[in-house]
Amino acid sequence: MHTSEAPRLYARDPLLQSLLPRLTGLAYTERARVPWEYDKDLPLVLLTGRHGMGRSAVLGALERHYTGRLPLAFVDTAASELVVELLEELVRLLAPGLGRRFPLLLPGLISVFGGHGGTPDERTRATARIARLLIACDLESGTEVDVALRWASRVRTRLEAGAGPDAPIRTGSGGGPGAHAVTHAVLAEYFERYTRSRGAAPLRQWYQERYAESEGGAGGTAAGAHDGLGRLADWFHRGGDYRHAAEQTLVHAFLEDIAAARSKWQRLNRDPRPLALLDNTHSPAGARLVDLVLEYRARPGETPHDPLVVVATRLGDAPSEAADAVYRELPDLVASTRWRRTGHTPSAGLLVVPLTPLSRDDVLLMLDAASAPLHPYLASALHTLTGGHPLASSVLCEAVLEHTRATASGKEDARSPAGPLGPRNLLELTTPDGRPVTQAILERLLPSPHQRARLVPLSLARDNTAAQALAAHLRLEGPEQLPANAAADYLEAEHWQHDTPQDRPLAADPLLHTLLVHEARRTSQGTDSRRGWQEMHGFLRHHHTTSGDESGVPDALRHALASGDAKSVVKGLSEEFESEQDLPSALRWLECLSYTATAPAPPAADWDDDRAAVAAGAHDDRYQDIDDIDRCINRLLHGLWYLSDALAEPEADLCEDMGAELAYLSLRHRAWRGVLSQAARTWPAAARDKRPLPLPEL
Amino acid sequence: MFLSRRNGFGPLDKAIAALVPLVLIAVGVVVYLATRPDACAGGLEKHDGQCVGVTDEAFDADDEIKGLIGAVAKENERVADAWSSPKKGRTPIPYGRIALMMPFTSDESSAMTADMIRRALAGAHAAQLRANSSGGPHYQLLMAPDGKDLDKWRPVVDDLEDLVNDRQSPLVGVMGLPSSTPETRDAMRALSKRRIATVGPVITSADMNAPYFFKTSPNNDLLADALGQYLKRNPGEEKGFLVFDSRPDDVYSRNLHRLLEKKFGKKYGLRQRSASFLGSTGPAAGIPQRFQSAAQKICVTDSDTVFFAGRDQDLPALVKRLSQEPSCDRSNPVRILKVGIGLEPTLTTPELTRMLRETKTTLVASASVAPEWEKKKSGRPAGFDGFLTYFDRLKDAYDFGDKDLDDGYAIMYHDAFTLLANAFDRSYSEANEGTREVDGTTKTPEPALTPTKDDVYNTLIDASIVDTGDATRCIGCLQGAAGTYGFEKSSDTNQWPVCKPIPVIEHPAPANRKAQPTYRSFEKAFKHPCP
Repeated sequence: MHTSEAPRLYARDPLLQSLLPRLTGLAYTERARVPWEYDKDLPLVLLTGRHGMGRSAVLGALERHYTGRLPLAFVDTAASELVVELLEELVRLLAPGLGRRFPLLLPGLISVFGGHGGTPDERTRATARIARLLIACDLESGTEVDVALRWASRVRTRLEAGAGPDAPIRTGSGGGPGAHAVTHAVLAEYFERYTRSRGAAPLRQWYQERYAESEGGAGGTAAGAHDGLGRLADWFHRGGDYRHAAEQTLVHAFLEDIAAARSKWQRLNRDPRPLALLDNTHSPAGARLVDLVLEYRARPGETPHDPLVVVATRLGDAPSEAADAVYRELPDLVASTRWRRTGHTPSAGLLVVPLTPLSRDDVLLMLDAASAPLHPYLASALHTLTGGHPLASSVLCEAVLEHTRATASGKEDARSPAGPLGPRNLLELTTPDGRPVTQAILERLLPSPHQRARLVPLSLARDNTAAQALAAHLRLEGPEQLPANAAADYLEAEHWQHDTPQDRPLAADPLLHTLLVHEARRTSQGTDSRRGWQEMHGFLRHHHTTSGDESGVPDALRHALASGDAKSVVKGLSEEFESEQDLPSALRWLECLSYTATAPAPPAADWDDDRAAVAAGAHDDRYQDIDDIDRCINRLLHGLWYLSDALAEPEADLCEDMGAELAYLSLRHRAWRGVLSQAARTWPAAARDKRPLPLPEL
Repeated sequence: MFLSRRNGFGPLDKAIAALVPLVLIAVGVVVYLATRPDACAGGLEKHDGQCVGVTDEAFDADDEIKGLIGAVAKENERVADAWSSPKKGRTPIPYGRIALMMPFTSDESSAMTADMIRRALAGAHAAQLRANSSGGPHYQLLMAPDGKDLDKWRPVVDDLEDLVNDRQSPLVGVMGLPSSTPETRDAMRALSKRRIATVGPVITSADMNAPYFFKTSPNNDLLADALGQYLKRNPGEEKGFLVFDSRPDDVYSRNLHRLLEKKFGKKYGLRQRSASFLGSTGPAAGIPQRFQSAAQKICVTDSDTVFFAGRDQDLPALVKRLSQEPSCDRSNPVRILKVGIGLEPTLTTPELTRMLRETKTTLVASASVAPEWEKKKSGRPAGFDGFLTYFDRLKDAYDFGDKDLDDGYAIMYHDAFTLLANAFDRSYSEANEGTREVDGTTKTPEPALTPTKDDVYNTLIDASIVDTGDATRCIGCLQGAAGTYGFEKSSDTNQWPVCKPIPVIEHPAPANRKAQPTYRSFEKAFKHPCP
């Protein structure tokens, strides 16, 4: 069933092939029924994850595979502001596949839309929604515009005809003049035209009972025959708690209709259940809809269960108030979720499935389609860089495939790195439409361009203070008082992190940080500009040097290295190596060395990357003017710097060399022999495994 | 659900998919069982609600003959057992099969009345018992019902043809065919075409001729000749009148009508003095037996010699009508001349006899058998006693009604069976003797050679009456209950019996009538009288 256009999903099979078939009763790819895991009460499946974790992709795949095979609705809840609009979409998409087409919900929605809004524009939209509902429920045929016009003119005729002295035109407390008359006319039109009087009575009764307790209360304005429905529309337009109650009524009507539409035959025949895919339910309307569905299902008593399978996605984690929700990892879903409703809180009906990163094997599979042999370390480098992030991985893999295609066909893009593709060139690739990969990925991960533009330079700063200073230096102004804080708030709002510690870089996520730094490197506008790489690192180096704090030294050295000034870094490290004697300073020296080595590499435009060669001693002739110890430190620094790069391949020789350099240094120092030789033993292994370099224990 | 089957099949779908063929099969079976031809007992097949075919077992028929059919079936089984699994120490006795093709059911308009069927079957069964009690091969009497109106003969003939190829117990021939109707004629021709010897015991229409069709009764021509001989001796006032059956499809009545006109028309002026009626036998075509105008005309014309060209069943109505006719002058005697196999018991009931006496009317019937044979020993044919022995045994066990021999059916059916059985006997012994001579050994060939239907035919058609120069002798003639007679291989006789006695019966019998010489069929062809 895969088509060439449909992107393949990796590492989501437990969800697609196991859980959803067990819920809907229909196999994902085959034309076969699957035994249900739950006979009656269904969990609401909530997929959580950060940007780019493939939440929408999962829903898209479900939509592709199940469309036409069961009643299915795919709704992006972030696109609507009101729950009723989401309900309208769900009805429109589900109705054609159901036997009974929402006899209960339809008058409720129509009464709400019928009396909706005051401006002509809103009125037109509401009428269009009614028209769509009527068409979807097979009560009218024709184009949406025709049906809407017909409906509007009929209601108008009714209003004009009923404008006599006996007409129930009253002034409602919520709506404008005649709002109740409009609701009345709309409902009269609906019931008289589309329902038989015998069938309409139970519907009205149902709405009547929903509002029985409030009879004679505040809502004494509801009109005659359509008491319950009139009150529903009235409450809806009052807003606040009233609207919430009206929405609750409508969601209940929706689910009861779904339950009633399922015949005993269908249940016994295990016909596939209807499926609702709700994307982005972190949006207010989406969250409310999910809450209302959960509330309905959590009603106490032996009430009938609705058969709707709901799969919702949510950015970040599950809502914090969902205390009773059941959490399951993807691999747990293969056999059984073992979900069972415990307790009466709505969140007990929630099955949270966090989407996890891809494995290296998945990345390897994604690169499988390459037309030419790839660098053997490429998949690992890509996985190390992205941490298995699905979106970043797929964009990069697509770029790699595109590059191999272009290389094979001889049409090389000027912007793409020339020659054979190595792990180091990964971030310099372009997407098939020609944009730099980092830009393409960042646009998806950080949707706001304004915040993105602010975060790119600020990501170079080591902590909040430095970022703030850099922002001031770059004159990054905005409506907010402190740009760095605003950027941090944005990252939290986009669920990249829960909080932003003051002493850490703004973007805590390694992938996001790497991408932002590379974007800063890529967009560096030369040495003259304030926004130039050298300039910014120079500023930050200055910032840390002048802070007057001893702890700023490693940062100053790191920024110096980032700006390409290895010589002064070696000098600084050498001085400390020579002068310090005690053991704690040995640790401090090693920490400083390893931290400095994490400096980002300067842009390729103004700097040749020969770190590996320097580390191997190939260019020792360039350093005739310094002594053996300094040359050793120089090689060590370059080697560690090179290895700290996520994309660099940890070549075994190089790692061993680092150990040798450290061993050499241990012999040259009067007091640090033990500490350095310990590092000489442990660091090569850590570097090979791309682990943080461990500090020796005293 | 309008969604296509892209969503697979559920348990109920699968159940239906499994059930639907089963239900269809079940429905098919039920429909087949309900609509298939009803099973008839004894391997018969149902055609238009009647069981027809050929069987040697008991089957459903009229209540009166159930016992008799059972007896025949039992005898057939015994015969078969004597061949296939003989008792210890006995040699297997070969047997032939003789089919009795006639209706076994009756209603008011059927070709045979229940009594006729009963007596015919009794005669045939008596002949079977008689044949099986003597040496030589034994016989099964196959019962072959061909529908009460004789119209279902086709399947019967087909079944008979299948039996012809049985070498072990061959079909000797077919007997029955009771009535001279177009259906009988077709059946007769069909059998003849298949070269199956067929005997019509009570066929009298002179035009019922086919090469393989033998008749044991004289035809109407011969019967009329016997009447002619009677009239010569008893001329009366010679005022004739003809009453004839106007049914166009009754071959017998038409044939008789033509004959009587031919033979007596001129002399008695029958063309001018005649009346017609609609006979009661055959499909409905109007009110039958309307004799009023005939009776009036007879009385008005003062006729004393009334020729009746119709079936015996209709005659009592004419007598009744005549007795009620006021215009009649009762002083002169009237004779009603008829031909037939015998004298129907309905014509000799006390009531009818009283009417006849009152109106001075005498029935004069020229017949194949005479009722008086049963009562008087003198004048009885030589083979009659043998028949009576076996018939009386049956009579003790089954009821055949009053005057069971008067209509002659039992006697004629007996003779027909005996004719075929004798021919097979002779063929069988000749066949086996011949083999012995050729082989030059004295052993009986094992297995014994069974003659085919063709051998039977050749035996039958072999001239049996020979002129020795000073007398006429009969070799291999049938010594039947209705006289001693044979068959000639000449186109003149057309397989009608030669030298068959044709007694003329008067009822009520006149007092002090001298015995008159009995007419013998085709006797004139010989220089010397029949033996």
